[in-house]
Amino acid sequence: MRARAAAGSATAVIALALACACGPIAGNPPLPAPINSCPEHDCSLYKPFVADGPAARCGSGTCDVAARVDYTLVVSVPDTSYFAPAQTFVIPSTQLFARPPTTTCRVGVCAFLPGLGVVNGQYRPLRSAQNQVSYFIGDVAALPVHVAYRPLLLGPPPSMTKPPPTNEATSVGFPLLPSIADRVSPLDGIAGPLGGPNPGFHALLPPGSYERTVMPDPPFDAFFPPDVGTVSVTTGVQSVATGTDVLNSVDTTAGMIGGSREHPTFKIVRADEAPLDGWTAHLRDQTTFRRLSTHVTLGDANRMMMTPPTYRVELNTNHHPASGDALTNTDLLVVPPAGVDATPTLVAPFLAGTLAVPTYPLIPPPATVKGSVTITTGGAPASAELLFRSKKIYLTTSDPSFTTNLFYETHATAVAATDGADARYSVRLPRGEYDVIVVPSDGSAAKSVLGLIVVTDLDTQDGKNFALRPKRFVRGVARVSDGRALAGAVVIATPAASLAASGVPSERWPRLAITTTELDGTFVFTLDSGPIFDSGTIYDTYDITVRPADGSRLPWVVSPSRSVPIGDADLLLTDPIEIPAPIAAGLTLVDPQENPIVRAIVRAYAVPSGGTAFVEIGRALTDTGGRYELFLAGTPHP
Amino acid sequence: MTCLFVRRTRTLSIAATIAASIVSLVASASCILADPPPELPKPPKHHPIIIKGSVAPPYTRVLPALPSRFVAEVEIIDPDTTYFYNVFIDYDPINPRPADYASRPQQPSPSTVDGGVGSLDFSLTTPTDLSICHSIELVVALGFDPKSQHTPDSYGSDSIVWWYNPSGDPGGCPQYDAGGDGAFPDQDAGIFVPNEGGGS
Repeated sequence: MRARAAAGSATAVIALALACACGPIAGNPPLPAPINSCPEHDCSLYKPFVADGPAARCGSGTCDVAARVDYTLVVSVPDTSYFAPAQTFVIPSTQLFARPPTTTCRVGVCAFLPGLGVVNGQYRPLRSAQNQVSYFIGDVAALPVHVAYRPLLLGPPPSMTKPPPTNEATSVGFPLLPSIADRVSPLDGIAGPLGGPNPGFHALLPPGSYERTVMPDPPFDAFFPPDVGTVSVTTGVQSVATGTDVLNSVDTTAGMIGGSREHPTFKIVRADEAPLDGWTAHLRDQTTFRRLSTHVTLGDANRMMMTPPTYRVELNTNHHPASGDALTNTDLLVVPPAGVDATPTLVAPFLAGTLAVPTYPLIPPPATVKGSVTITTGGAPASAELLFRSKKIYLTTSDPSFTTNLFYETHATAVAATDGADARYSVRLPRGEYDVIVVPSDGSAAKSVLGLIVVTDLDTQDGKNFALRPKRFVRGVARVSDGRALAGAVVIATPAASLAASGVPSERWPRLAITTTELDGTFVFTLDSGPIFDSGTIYDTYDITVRPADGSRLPWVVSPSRSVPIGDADLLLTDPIEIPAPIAAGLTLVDPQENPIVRAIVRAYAVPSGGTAFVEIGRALTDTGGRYELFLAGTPHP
Repeated sequence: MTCLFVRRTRTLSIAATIAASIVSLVASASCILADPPPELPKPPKHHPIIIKGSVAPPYTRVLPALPSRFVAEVEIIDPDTTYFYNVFIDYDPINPRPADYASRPQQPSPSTVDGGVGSLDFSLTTPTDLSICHSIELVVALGFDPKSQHTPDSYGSDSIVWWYNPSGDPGGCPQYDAGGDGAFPDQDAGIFVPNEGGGS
């Protein structure tokens, strides 16, 4: 018996040895990233993504979940495409199969992209409008313009808990940029203004709703206002070449000095009786900061009094707010010419139903401000960008009173000294109080928003130093919900999409960070721990997205709005981020002629439960047949 | 006695079996070592390639606003090699700065024979100077010189440049590139042409 057992053991040893010796030539070790495959891995081990969610099953070699998820598809067509090159389509999942299926494009597996809208237009002010602004270009001539189309939401999705500050698609997290129309010269043989060509604009746009801004070029922008309005673009050719569509009349209502409701005029004067020749004035939108009126340069033509130099400025606007008059939600800006020394802009806001322009106040001359940028734990960044933004401007050298009607913003670069002890900057600033956004270039310290006071009684103020906190270490762990460690996954901490939805300016957001999980699924990255907003409010929230390796057939999981408060100790994300079995959401995309959309970037977005903005929950690339595989976890939740 | 004989016989039998096993193992190993199977030549490594058409936003038009996220698809030639990417705003070769965004090692796809196509993305802090046009350069490589994040290793790199004009006016960005003939424009065109003659 024993001899037989011993012989068996020996045979096993030999077999093992032979297997080792005669096996395939060892290649590189397999990548550690787990893959969603069955039956190698038991699908029943996956936990549901949400409580009482459906169980995973094995189908086509992949564990997946038979469930429905609402998402919005963002399709970026490559610029090499014959159809809609470089265009981006936004399609809610509920509208993917709006077009009736065909024999080759079947419902549920194939979706059509809609045809583009072709927009041709001209800015042709009617004679009535020309009369109003006293500038005549004739009945058929059009103005040279720049035209931008900004994608809008058709309405907040039902799951969004708070409406966004604007209805622009970017304000709720969509990666959409304005489309700039091309300038064209229609071959109509009609001369344009000043004997030039009769220009028009042309744009190709996916169907949808847009804010269209038609901005006349200089010198016409001193007489004719931008036309800003909401337009709907549908598939097919559309013409906006009629004067009534672009500029029917100059709509101005609130009377300023002079009392004319058709031509609001503003009196602009300086307290120190200095001339304002070369300065410019315009109205802007208080929410978007975009110009809404003509752009007028002050000079002899609009000087109404020589001593003190007083200017009468007529600003024409075509602003049509949903409620109120043309000046509602606007600021009037009086801007110094480029090159003058640290001189603030006068900002007169629309308040309590009127827009009153104060006298440009007497202020002390600007000061030279110098200082250093260091890290609290020692050393300094190699360099840092500093953005100075005024909160108050002091009025006199002896009086601590201030005004908020003046605004100044500038930037400077701090460069490390040769010994690396600190990075130095120097800048000219009007005296006052500032927020300073300090962005270290090398990521050695946290981006910070710090306060600065430029005192009234010194012309040169040194020692205005900024000490930056080190970035905070954040640790966590990710795993597949069947128990496997999630190695080789990318973990991204992005400024929470909810920051955009709450109107926090992007320059105050914390910075993005990316890391990769280790063999045991742990990850660590260093994050800006809470740049400080005005009044000490801290915006420190990130969306943390775990992306299993491309091709693993595991879905992305987004943990929304995670706070990273200021602190010295490492921050441990105690709850592991678990990757569930996915919902398969792959499709084939075709153009209206049923040609495949090849190599398009397809991104899926969804609003987290209780969230205020869209976050990206999956991404894919279409193949040569227009097909893509997309695996989604479901609606993100805290 | 019989029992003792039987026990000795078994012991001898076991020893003989183990000895035979060892001999055969050595023989087998010797056989493998003496005549190894031919090894296929490995192709040289190659840097990742950006699929230029499949980047978002497209790089062929001036960006009137800074997107929240740049996305690029990258074809990865080597399945067993990580790669890196760095991003530079307004890179100045005369006075180089660290990358505005430097990636950690990127993994090839685990489920493809080759490296597959990988997706990379990055975000940038809005430049402080919004009065000028900015270039945004993405460089991908298998590795970078530790002393220069813009210099790839000996396998080379691929890159792509977006132009961002905060004013939204495409006229504010450089309009000239070398084009198909690689010719410089005339000096009369008002564009600075460097003196390549070395001077006197």
